[in-house]
Amino acid sequence: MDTALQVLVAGVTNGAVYGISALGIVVVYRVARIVNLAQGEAITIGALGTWWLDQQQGWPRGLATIAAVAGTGVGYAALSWLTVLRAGRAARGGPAAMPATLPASLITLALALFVQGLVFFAFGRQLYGSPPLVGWSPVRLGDAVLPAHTVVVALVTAGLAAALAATVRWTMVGRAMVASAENRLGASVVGVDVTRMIVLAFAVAGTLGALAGVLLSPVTVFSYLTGFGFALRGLAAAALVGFRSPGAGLAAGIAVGILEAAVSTYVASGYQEPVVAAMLIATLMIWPRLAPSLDPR
Amino acid sequence: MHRWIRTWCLVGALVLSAACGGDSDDKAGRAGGAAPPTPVRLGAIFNMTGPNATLGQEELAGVEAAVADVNRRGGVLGRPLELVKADAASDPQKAATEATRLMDDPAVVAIVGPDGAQMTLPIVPLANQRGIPLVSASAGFLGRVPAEQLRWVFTVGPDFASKGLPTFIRYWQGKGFKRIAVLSNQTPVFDLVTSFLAKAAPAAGLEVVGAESFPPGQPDVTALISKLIGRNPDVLLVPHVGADVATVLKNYGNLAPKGVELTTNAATANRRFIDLVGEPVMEGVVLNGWKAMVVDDLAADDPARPEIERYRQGVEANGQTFDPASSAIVGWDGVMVITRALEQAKVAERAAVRDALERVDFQGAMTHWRFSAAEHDGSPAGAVWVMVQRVAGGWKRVDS
Repeated sequence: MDTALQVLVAGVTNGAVYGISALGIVVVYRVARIVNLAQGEAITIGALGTWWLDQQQGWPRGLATIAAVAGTGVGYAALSWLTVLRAGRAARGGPAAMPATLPASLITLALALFVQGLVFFAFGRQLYGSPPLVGWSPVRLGDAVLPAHTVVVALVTAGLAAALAATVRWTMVGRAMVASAENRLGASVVGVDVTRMIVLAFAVAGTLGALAGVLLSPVTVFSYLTGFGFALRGLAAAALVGFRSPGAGLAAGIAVGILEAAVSTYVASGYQEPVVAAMLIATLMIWPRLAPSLDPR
Repeated sequence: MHRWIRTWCLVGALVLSAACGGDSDDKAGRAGGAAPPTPVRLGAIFNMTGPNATLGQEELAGVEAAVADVNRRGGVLGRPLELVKADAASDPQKAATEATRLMDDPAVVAIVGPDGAQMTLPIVPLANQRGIPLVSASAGFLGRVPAEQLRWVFTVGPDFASKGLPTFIRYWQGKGFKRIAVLSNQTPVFDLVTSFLAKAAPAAGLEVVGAESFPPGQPDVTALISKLIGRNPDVLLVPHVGADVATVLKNYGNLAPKGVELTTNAATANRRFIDLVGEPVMEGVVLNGWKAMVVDDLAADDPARPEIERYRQGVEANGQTFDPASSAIVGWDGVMVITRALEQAKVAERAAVRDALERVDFQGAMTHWRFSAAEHDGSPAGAVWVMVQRVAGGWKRVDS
C-alpha cells in the first residue's frame, strides 16, 4: 500500500508535466494542424528563465515566475508568427492559406534546436536547480509520504484543466479557437481570424510549457537539454489520444506518468522506457481510431 | 552582384591570412625566446565542455594550480613547466583528435588526463604508437585494455567501483551494516557497481537487498526509493553522478526514511553540487571523500597533511577558492607525479619520463603514489578515500 501510493504520487508528479506538454501540443495541433516539436523548449525556458530572474536578478519568486511564463508565451507567439505561419503559404496562396502540416511541423523542430542553441549560449551546459516552491515538510498519510510539492503540482494541473474548460466554454476567444479547430474554412467565413488563432495557440502552448518547467524545476535539475525529453513523452501522450482533445491529452500524460512509475516499480526499473513505448504502440494497434487524424481540413 | 562577391572573397582572404599570420607569429615567438630556459611542455587534456565538464574543469584547475606551484618553486630541471591545454569535450572522438594534436607537438613530454574511461580508451593506442607517457585521471579503462597496451599509460584516476567500493565495504563492516540497496540512473556505473557488489558482498558478509535503476532525466523517483526502503536496507547507495543524483537526493529528502544511511559518490561533495541541491538535502549524506576534506580528523603525524597543506596553498596562490572536495586534487597529483618523474629522469624526454614514472614513489595530496613496471595504477585499492559525512555544513570523518 505504501509503495502503491508512492507510485501514484511519483506518477502524478512526472505525468502532470507530460500532460501539460500534451495539452499544449494538442491545442496547437487542433488549431493549426501542426505537431509542435518545440514544446519542450518552453519547459526549459520556463525553468531556467525563472531561475535567472529570481536567483541572478533578485526578482521576487512570484514575479520572476509570472514574467518567465508570460515571456515564454509571448516569445512562442512571436516565433510562430515569424516562421511557422509562413511555411507552405506561398505554395498554396490565397488569404485563407494555412501553413502546410509537414513543413510547418518540421519548422517547429528547427525552432526547438534554435531555441536549444540560444539557451545553451546563455546558460552553458551547467545544471540549475530551484529551491522548493513550498516548505520542506511533506504530508504524511499513514506510512506513505505525500511531498508538498506534488500537492502543488496536482492543484496547478487541476486549475489549468478548469481554466481551459472555462475558456473554451464561456469566452469568445475560446469559442473562436474551437471553431478554428473544427473547421478552419468555416471559421474564417464567419469572421474568425484563423491566423490569429494559430498564433494564440502557440502562445498558449508556450505559456503551458513554461509553467510545467516552473513546476518541475524544484524537484529535479535543469540543463538546456532537459525540456526536450519531457516533450517527447508529452508527444506520446498526445498521440495516444489522437491529438483530438486537450483535456484527454492532459489525462493521457498523467496516465503515461503513472504507467512509467508502475512499470519501473513493479516490472523492471531498467526496462521502463521500452515497456512504456511498447504499451503505447499496442494501445494504438488495438484501438486504431485513437491514431492521429491527419485530416488537413 | 559581382562586386559583392569580390568584396566578400577579399574579406574572407583577409580573415584567413590574419588567422594564419597569428599562428606563425606565435611559433616564431616560441622559437626565438632563447635567453630564458626553454620551458618543459606538459599536455593537459580534460573535458572542458560537454556533460562531464564540471569534473573536467575542476581537474584542469588543479593541473593549473600545480603547474603554477612547481614554477613558483623554481620549476623542474631548472626549467619552468608550460601547460598546453586540450579539450576532450566529453566525446571520445574529440578526445582522440585533441590528444593527437598534443602528441604532434614534439616539445610535449607527457600528457595528463583525461577523465572518463570512454575518453581515455581511444587515447591509449595513440600514446603507445607515438611513444608519449599518458597519466590518465581515469582508472575505469584499465580492465578493458590488454596489459601490453599499457606500456605508455599510467593512471592517478580514483576509479569509483574498484577503489571506492572497497572503502565503502570496510566502513560498512565496521558499522555492522549488512543490507545494502542500490539506486542509480541507467549508466555504466550501475552495472559496474552491481557486478562489483555481486562478487564482493557475500565475502564481506553483506547482502544486496535491492538494485534499481531509472532512465536519466526522470524527475521523480520517489516510488523506486520507497520500494527499496521497503526492503529494510541499512544503506541506500546512490553511485551515479550528475543531475540524476540531485533528483534522488531531493526525492529522498521528502521521504526522510529512518535508520537508512544515504551514501553517494565523492563527485557529489563539491561546492557546486551542494549549492545546487541545497544544504538541508545534503545533511547526513555519507560518501567517499578525499583526506583533504577532513584534515582536522587525520592523525597528527599523517604523512598526507603537509602535502594537503601545500595543495591548499597552491590552489589559493593561483587565485582559486579552495574546495577540499573538488576533484582538482586529481589534476594536482597528476602533475606532481609527472614532475617527480621528470626530476628522476633528469632529462625532459618522453622515453626517459616513461621509465621514471615506473619508479615514482611519493606521498601526494590524494594518497601515497607507488608505481612500478608491473603496476601503472599508482594507488592501491581502498587507499585513496576515507568515509566522510555531511554534518552541519561541514565534513566529518566517520570510518577511521
